[in-house]
Amino acid sequence: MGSTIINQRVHIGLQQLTALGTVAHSFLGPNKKYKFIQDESTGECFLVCTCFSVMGHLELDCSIGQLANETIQAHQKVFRSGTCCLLFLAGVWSRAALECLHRGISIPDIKSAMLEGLDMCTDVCRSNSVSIADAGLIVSASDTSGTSGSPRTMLRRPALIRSQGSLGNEKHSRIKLSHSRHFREIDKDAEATPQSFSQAVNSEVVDIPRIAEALSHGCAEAMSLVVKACRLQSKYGGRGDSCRTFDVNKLVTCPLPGLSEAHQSVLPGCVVLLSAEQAALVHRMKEKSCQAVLIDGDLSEKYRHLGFNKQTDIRYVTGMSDCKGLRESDAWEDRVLTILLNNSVSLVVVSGEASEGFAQCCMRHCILVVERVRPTVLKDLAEATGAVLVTYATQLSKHCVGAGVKVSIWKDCSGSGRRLSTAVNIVADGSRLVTVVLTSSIQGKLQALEDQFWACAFRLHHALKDQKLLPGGGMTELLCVHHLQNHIEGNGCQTNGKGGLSVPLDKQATGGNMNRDYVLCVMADGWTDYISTLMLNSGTRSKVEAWTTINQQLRYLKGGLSLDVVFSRMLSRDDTESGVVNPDMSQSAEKVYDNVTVKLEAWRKALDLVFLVLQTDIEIITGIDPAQVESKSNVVVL
Amino acid sequence: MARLSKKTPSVCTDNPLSKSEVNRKITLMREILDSSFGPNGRLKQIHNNVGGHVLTTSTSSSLLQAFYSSEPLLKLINASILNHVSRFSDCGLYVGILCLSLIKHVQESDLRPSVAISMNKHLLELCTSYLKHEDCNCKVTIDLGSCRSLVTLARSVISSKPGSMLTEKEKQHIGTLTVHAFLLTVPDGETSDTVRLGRTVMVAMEGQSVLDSAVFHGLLVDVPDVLLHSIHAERITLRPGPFRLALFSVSLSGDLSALGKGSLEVPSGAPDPEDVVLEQLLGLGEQVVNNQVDVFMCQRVIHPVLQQYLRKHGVLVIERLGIALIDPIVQMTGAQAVASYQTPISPEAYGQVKGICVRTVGPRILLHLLPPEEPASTICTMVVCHRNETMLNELKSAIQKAEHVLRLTLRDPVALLGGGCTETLLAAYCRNKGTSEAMDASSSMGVSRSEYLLGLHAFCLSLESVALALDHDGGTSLIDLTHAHCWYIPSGQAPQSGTLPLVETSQWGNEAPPTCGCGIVERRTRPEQGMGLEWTLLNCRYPPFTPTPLVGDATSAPQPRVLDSFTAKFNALQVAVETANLILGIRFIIQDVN
Repeated sequence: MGSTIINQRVHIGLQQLTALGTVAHSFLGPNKKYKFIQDESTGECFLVCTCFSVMGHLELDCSIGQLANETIQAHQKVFRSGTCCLLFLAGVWSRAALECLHRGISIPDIKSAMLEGLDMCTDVCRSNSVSIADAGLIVSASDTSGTSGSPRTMLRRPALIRSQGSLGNEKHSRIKLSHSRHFREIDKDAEATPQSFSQAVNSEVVDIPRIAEALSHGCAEAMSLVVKACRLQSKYGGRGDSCRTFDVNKLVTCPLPGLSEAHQSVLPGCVVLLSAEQAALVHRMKEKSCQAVLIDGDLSEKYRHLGFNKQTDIRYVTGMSDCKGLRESDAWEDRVLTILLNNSVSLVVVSGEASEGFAQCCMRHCILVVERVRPTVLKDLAEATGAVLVTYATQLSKHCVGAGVKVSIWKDCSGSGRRLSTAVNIVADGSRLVTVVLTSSIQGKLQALEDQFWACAFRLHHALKDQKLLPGGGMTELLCVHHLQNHIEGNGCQTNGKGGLSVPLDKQATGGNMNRDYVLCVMADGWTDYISTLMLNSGTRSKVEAWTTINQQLRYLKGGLSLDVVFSRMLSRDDTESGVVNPDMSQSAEKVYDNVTVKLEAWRKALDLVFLVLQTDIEIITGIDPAQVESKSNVVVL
Repeated sequence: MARLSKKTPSVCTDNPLSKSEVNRKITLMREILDSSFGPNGRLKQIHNNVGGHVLTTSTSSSLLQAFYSSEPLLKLINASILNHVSRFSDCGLYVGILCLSLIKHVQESDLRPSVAISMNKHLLELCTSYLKHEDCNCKVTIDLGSCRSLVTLARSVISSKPGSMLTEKEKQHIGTLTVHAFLLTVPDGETSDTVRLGRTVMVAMEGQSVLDSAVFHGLLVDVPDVLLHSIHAERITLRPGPFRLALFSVSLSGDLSALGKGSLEVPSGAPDPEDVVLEQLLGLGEQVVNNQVDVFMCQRVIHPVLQQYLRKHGVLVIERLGIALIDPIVQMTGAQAVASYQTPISPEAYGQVKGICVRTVGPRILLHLLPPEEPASTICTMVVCHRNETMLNELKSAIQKAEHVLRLTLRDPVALLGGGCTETLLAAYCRNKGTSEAMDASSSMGVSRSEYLLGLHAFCLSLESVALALDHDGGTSLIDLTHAHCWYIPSGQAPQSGTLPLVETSQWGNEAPPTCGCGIVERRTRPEQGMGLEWTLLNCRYPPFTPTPLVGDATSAPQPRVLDSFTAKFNALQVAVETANLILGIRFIIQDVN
C-alpha cells in the first residue's frame, strides 16, 4: 500500500531539459565523437555516436528524461535522422524559457512568442529551400536518354506518383489507392501502381551521387555504400549502370563482425550465414537457378502459428499391441520431404528455426534450408519469385513454389571461430533488394556503423522525396537569426515612433511588445549557439571566436551582403575583412545540404517538448512509502 | 496459533476538519486542481516510483484515477468527482475546486457546520432555480439548425485541455471535425420511436500534423502488408459493391482453448484433436465460399490453412480485429458476430458493406469499409493525428469529452457562458437576492441575520474563486458592475495594485480588455445607460446589484466565444455543494488500520 507524494517543481523540469540538451553538443556536425556508456551493475558497455542511441541506453529516472527519450525515439522511428538537432535545440530553448521566466514574462506570452518565432523561421526555410535542380545537382540533358519531354518538364511532375513500372508488374494486383496524406482520391490518369507505395522514388534527371555527397555530413564511407546500393538497385531495375532510382525500403543491412572495414560491400539479394556443411551444398548449387519455398514460422512438426494456444495436457493412450514405432515427427518429415522433392525444390527459406534432424535430412537430399531470415527479405522473395508465403510446411503445393533463385558463396569467414562461418548470397531474379554488408574488426562499432548507414540512406530518401534541400552547415540557421533580428528591430522602430497611440489591438501595451522581442531574442540566441557549436565541432574556431564571427557576419548580412559571401567568409580560416576567401573552403561549404522536412519537424518537436515541460508544474509520484521520503525538502505527502 | 497477531483496534478521529494535517492535505489538493483548471492550466506529471510510463495531463479523469490518497476525506471528494465525470465528461475540475473552496470559506467564516450546511442548501436552490428560469442571463440557446454554436461549444471543451498544445487554427479544425463526426452519428430521417445514436471510432496516428486529422463515414481497419500484395484481393476491388460480410467473434486459430482447461485423453486410433478442429474450420470455409461471402472477418486469430483456402477462392480475410471494432461492425453492416464454427452459419448472420478501398495515412495502410446505403449508417471513424504521444492522448480524451457534451446538448439545447462569466453572474445574483431577502430568509431558516450574511458571503466567494482559478499567470480578474461578467487583464498590463480603494472605476477604463471572458460584452458599450462600464477587482466586496441582461438586437450582438455545457455544469454545481455539505457534516472518522 503506497501513498502518493507531490513534488513541487520550480522549473526544475526546464533545468533538467537544459542539462539533457548538453548531451547533443558533441554529436553535432560532421566530426562525431564516439562515447562509451557503461552499465555499472552488469558491466556491459556500449559504443554510441548518435543522440538517439545515447538516450536509449541511458537509464533516466527523471520523468523529463523519459519524456525527452519518448520524443526522440518517436522522431527517430519516422525520420531516422535529425535527433541531435532536436535534442540540442530543446536544451537551448529550455534555457531561453528559463531566462524569460526569471524576467517575469508569463507563460502564455512565452509560448505565443516562441511559436511566432518558429513560424517565421519555418517560412524563411521554406522560401529559401533550394530545389534539386537549382542546386545544380541534376545530370545534364545529354545524359537523359529515352525519356520523354525535356528535363525541365520532368522535374515539375511529382516524382513520387509516376513510377515507370520497371519491374515485372504481372504478378501484382492493381489496387486502387488513395495516396495523399489529405485523403484525396487520385484521378485515373495518375493512378498509382502498387509499386508506388513501396516508396520507390524515380528521379529521372537527378544526380544521386552528387546529392548523396552533399548530404553525407561527414560519414563519407557510409554514404558511398548508399550510392553503391543505389547503383545496384538501378542496375537490377533495368536502367543500366547509372544511379537513377533509390528505394530505401528495399535496403537491408547485414552486420558481420570479424572482418575489417575494408570488406564492406553491397550485394544484390540477401546475405545469410551458414555452416560449413551447408556451404558445401551451396558449392554444388552455384550458378544454377533453383526453385524455392518460403515458410513464415518454424520448420518443425511442433510449431504452431502465432495465436494458437497449445493445449498442454493431452495424453495419448495406446494399447499394448499398438507400438507402431513410428513417431509422429517422422511421419511429418516424410510428408514434407515428399512435397519438396516432388516439386523439385532446392531451397527452403524459413523465418523461424528449422529442426536439426529435418535440416540434416534435407541436406542429404540436396535441399538447402536457410533459417532465421528477416520477414522483409521473405516478403521481397515472395514478390520476386512468385512463391506464396505459408505458415506450415504441410500447406505447400505446386502453386506455392517460386523460381529463379540463385545461391552463391560470398565469403568464407571460417577464421572467426563461429559455427555459422560462411556468408552466402541469395539472389532472386527481378528482385530489387540490396544488402549492405557492414564489417568491422571492433564488434562494438558495428551498431554505430549501422546507425550511420541508415541515417545517410534516409537523408537521401527524404531529399529525393521532398525534391528540395536546405543549405546546410548552419547557413539556414544564420538566415533565421538574421530574420528574427530584423523583425525585432522592425517592431522597435514602430513603437518608439508612434508613441503607442494607434497601436493595433494585439500589441496593446509596450510591455507586451518588449517581452515578445526579448523572447525572440533569446530564441535567436539558441540558433546562434547551434551554429557556434557546429563551428566548434568542425575544428575551425573556439566557442568565443565563433560567437564573435557570427555576430560580425550578421552585421554584414544586415548591411546587404549576400548570404553566400557572408557564409563562406564565416567558414574560412583566414577571417580577413578583405574578403579573400580560401576557394576550397567555400567550395566545400556550399556543398553541404540538409533535408527540409526532417529539419522542420525536428524544430517543431523540440519546441513541443519545451512547451510540455514549461507547462508542467507538479510531479506526482505514486507507490512510495511515506516514511522513506521525510527528509526531502520539496516533497510533500498527500 | 502462532500466525495470529493481535488486531489493532480502529482509530477514531473527531472533527477531522479541525486537524491541521487534514487541512494541509485539503489545501494541497485544492492547489493541484486550481493549477490545472482552464485553457492556461498547468500540466501534471504522474508516474510510479519504480519507473514506467510517465503520464502528463491536466484532465481530472486522468489525474484523479492515477493517484491515490490515504486520507478518507480526499478519497470521498475524488470519488464524487470521478462519478460526475463518468456521467457527464466535463467540469470535473470545476466540481473539485468549488467543493474545496466552499469548505475553506466556511471554515474561515467560523460558522457552525449545521448553519453552513443549511445555508449552502438554500443558496444552491436559489442558483438552480435561477439557472432553470427562462430569463437567466447566463444561458445561451443553441440553435441546432446551424453549426456555429455547436462548433463553439466543441472548441471550448477542446481548448480547455492545454496538454494537447493546439494552435488556434488547429483548435478550429478539430472543433469542426468533432461536430462533423457527431452529426454523422445522429440518425437521419424518421426511424422508429427509439432513436439510437451511432458511434465514432477513433484511430490515433502519432507523428503526423494535427491538420491531417479527418473524419470518414464508415470504418477503417488495420491490415498487414501481406494482404495488399495478395493476388486474390483483386476480386474485391475490381467489382463494385455491395459485398457480403461474415463476422466471427470466436477464435478460429484451430486450438482447443474454447474447451476450457483440463486434461484430454486421446485413445489410440482416434484422430488428433487438432486435425478434427482443422477439418471443421475447413468445412466452415467451404460453407462461406458457397454462400458467396466476399469479406471474412474475425475478432481473433484465423488458422493459416483456412486463410489460404479462403484467399484462394477470392475472399478478403481480415483477422485480429479486436473487441473494440466488433460492435461498430455489427451496427454498420447488420452482421451478427458468430460465436461458433461447428454449426452451420444462418443466413441472417451475414452483413453488407457498400464498398472497400485502401487508404494510406502516413506510414499506415488502412482498409476503408463503406457503409451500406440502406439503412443509413451512423458509424463514423475519426483519424486523430498529433506529433507526440502525450499530446495525442490528451487530444483524444478532449475529443471524446467534446462529443459527449454535444450528445448531452441534444437533450437540452442550451449552453452556459464560459470564461468565468457564469460564475460571476451567479455570485452577483445570489448576493443581490440574498441580501434583499436576508430578514425573511434567515428567520424562516432559524438562523440569525449575521450568520445568514456570513454564509451568503462564503458561498459567493467560492463561486468567484472558481472564476479566479482561470488565471494562472499573475494577471488581474475584474467583474463589471453592470452585467456581472468576468474580465481578465494579463499581467504586466495592469497598473500596480498597491492600495486600491474598493470601487475605483476610472482606473480600469483604459486597461480593461476589449471583451469579457465569454466574449459577449464589449468594453465600449453603448452609453445609453448614461455611463460606460465600471469594474472592480473580483475578490473584493462590492455592493449588491442586479445584473442587467444585454439589450440590443440579436444580430448585431457579438456571439459568445466560449461556451460550457449546461447539463454538465448544472450537475457539477449540485455535486460540488452536496459533497461540501457532506464533508462539513462529518463529525467522526473511524478507520480500520489492520
